[in-house]
Amino acid sequence: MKTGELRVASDAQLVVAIGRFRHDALSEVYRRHAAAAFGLARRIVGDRALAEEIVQEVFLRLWNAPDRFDAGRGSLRTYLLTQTHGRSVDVVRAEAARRTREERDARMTSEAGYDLEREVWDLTQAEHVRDALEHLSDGERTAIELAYFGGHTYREVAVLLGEPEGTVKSRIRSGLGRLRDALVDRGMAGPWRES
Amino acid sequence: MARELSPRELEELLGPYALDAVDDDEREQVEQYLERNARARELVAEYRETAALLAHGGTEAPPYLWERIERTLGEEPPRLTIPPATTVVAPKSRRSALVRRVAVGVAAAATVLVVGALTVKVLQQEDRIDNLGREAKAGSVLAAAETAARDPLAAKVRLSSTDGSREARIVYLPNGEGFLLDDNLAPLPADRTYQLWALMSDAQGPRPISAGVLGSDPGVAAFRARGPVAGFAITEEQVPGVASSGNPAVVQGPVD
Repeated sequence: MKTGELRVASDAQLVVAIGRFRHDALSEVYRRHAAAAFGLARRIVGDRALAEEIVQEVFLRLWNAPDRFDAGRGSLRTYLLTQTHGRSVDVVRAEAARRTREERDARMTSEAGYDLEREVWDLTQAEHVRDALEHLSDGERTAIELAYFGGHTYREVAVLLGEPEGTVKSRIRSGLGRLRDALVDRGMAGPWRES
Repeated sequence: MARELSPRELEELLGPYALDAVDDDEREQVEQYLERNARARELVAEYRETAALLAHGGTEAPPYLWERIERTLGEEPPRLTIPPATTVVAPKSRRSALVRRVAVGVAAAATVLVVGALTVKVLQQEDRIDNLGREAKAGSVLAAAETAARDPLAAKVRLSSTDGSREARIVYLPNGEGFLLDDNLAPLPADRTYQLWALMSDAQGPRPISAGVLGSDPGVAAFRARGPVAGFAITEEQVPGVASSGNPAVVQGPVD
């Protein structure tokens, strides 16, 4: 595959090219997905330098072990963002980041307009995502927000919201399911089946 | 020791697990549950895909970050993690002896393959490509293979057993990239694997070089074999594959 063709190559083809040590293939993956990864990491860890380190680690992990990406189990974007999220949560839960997290939580609490919609407004299909989010109850939205963007465990979310742990677990699960269904209805996510 | 969670409790944790929102002891139990429950794996993948749609914050990734990443890639291929090498490279004396026995007639139906020396790095790189090949079963290499098959410059190689009952098809590009497209090879036990060999023909004489381990039930697989490749063969080996083989070729065929 020539360099110029990488721009139109599928994510799966790019991963194959990365397997053949093509820097330009990794560069194209970065061009496509790094902004989302960086935005997510920065949001969770609340620190630009830490977010950069996480994104660098995630992309180097793809370079070093492209075979870990399984196209049968989801998109490359989802894979990279899952890696980014997991690493970000590790960082934010580490003792060294505790202080930053507490400061950031205080900031969040003081922002009246803090909600999921603000996080996705500039997504290309932001309107569809906003519509889908309206299918969630306030409890579901808040639980998902605190778990996903806040990096909290469901137990911590339960404490923060003063709700039973079982209720929070259920809200996260039902919220994700309803969100998924709504996005499928809007053509933003296809039915997914494991091969 | 954490309390063992019931299936119902584990099901309830799938959503939080997909968001990395479970404690370590719970994560371990959920992952064990996922290993034996395909539907639960599917659900977690769906949750993660959904969450990923929420992740875009509109932030530009810093351009200098890519430059920083690229600098760390280096000129050489990265060290690979799959354990191969030291346990599969044959002792030199045996290898030398075997090399002398090489008599692979590429067009003829030679039945025994013997492989020349391979470095650890080469084996590691092959493993990396091999894994991508296995991934092709899930579809990721398929598109690349289909594109290669349509390339007018690609060589189409038909491999067959001596009795004609077993077959495999390979498409091989001038740049050394190739794909195993399909085969009717019987699935092997988990501790056995098919291994692909490129049959080289140059001044050193005919010699097979490992082109990759195909797994116990090959699907579409990607490989790379640069040089004067005159044909291909597939043998059956012990996992994780070998650097030299005395086994007969299951199928083989010339590059026309």
